[in-house]
Amino acid sequence: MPDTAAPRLVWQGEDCLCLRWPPAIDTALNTQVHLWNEAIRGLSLPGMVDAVPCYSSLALHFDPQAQLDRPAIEAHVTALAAGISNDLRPSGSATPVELPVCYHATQAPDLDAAAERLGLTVEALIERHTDPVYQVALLGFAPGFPYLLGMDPGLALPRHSQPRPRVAAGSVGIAGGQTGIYPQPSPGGWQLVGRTPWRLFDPQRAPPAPPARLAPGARVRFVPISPGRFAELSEHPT
Amino acid sequence: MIEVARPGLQTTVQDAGRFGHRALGVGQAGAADAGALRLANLLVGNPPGCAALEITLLGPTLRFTRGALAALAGADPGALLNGRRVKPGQPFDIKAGSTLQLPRCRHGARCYLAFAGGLEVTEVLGSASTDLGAGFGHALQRGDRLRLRTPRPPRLGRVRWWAEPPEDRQRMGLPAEVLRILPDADAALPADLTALEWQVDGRSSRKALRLQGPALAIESAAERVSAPVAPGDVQILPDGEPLLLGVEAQTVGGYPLLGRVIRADRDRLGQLRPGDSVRFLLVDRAAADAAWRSLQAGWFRLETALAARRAGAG
Repeated sequence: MPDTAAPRLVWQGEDCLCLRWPPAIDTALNTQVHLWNEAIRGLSLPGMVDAVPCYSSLALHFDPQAQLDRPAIEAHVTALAAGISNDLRPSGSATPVELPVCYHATQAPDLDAAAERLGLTVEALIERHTDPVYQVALLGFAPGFPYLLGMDPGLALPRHSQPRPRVAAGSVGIAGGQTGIYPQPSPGGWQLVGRTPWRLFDPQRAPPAPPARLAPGARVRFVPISPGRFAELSEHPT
Repeated sequence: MIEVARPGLQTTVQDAGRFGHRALGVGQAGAADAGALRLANLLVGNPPGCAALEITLLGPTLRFTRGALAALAGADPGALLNGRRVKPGQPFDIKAGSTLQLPRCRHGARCYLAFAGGLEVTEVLGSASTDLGAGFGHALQRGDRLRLRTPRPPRLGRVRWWAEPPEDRQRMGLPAEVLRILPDADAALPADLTALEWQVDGRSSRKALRLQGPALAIESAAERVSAPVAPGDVQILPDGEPLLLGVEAQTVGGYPLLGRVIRADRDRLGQLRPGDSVRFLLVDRAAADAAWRSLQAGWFRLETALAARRAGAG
């Protein structure tokens, strides 16, 4: 397991303090990132406009127009280390989100080929893909795109050598040892094995509901549904 | 009402940017030359981050069914109001029935057209900025109509002065192609970095500027794990060429970082055109802060002077 001890504090330019752990894609390490994120949000540091958790780093972006007291900011952040232990879990992650996913060739163009490539039946692939509780490592690439940790390593697949020009919104894909979900239609190279009827990102969603259905650090379980149920639940524009 | 008769190459509505949603994968967007947006707004008496039009290389032709007070700042697009030349840095009156043409920027890449009162635009997540990658808003198309927020302000009359965005003192004597960067703490910097020169590639956008030229060595073997990035970051692509991240950059990236362009130089990224030269000058944080303070002082003097002009004109 990688070192989940306190991170290094590195200023990325003048206006971004980046907390860096040794680079790794690991659930326990990523949990630490989310714990630090939560603790830092509680500080309300003056001038901070964004805190962005990633796999093994956490960026604190400050207003580019602000004059910053960098030593004071560093001292506030460093002081948090005492309150964060390896046994904690981020507060929002207690109950996994149950996300409906339709694993059927009509919604998942790579499902059959992926099973064949992995030497599995489609049923076995679905069972192994819906078994774990995933953790949202980060949202990135596009608004609301969750990178999920915790996939069965036996389901790892390479990206397509030529990305598809258009992937449908809600498509659940596999790239390497990770799984993720395309919130909007976009080009993309992940192997598409399922599709959720939920609209994962909606900037106009009325507060207090957040624009992103899955927050960074949240835990997710995939619940398989039929094509009929997919049509009933679909929030995607037709 | 403003009618878009010709849209130009890429004309978008931009403000000071979208902040507070980066953790959701929503980048900042906003004006690629924030200083030019600020100046255009100040010239018409708006708050500095008011929504205005960002014009890229080839500008639009706009028809006005109502009067407006407007100003241009940034690259000079050779603007013609009813066939008569109007220049950046000066507010000007537009009468109802007028046509404003913004043919092309000959130096620099972007120009800002602000209107007194600002444009009436639907905001997404607290900002009117167009973010083409995220699908927020779109580039203007022929036939689009824009509304202004407020009634027409009083006529201005002839203006005999003009204003330019300030520069920091530390930039004096530095060639135009030099971008000052703060090196990343984990970057392997080539010893001759400041001697190298690149050209801006045609495959450049508000997302990023690709640079063509000498390949930089990338540290080997280390596992690449995506990490947060922001506008101004300089990444090294697998082929060794640098990539300058623009205002519409993604929130995370997987390429090694060389450093970040200092705040005082970031607006210059918005004015780089394909073919322009770029060199890097490594500076330390004290130098970056000094440049920033000097630039802020310049803005303060300019805002004070413009406020005095407005008071005098009223």
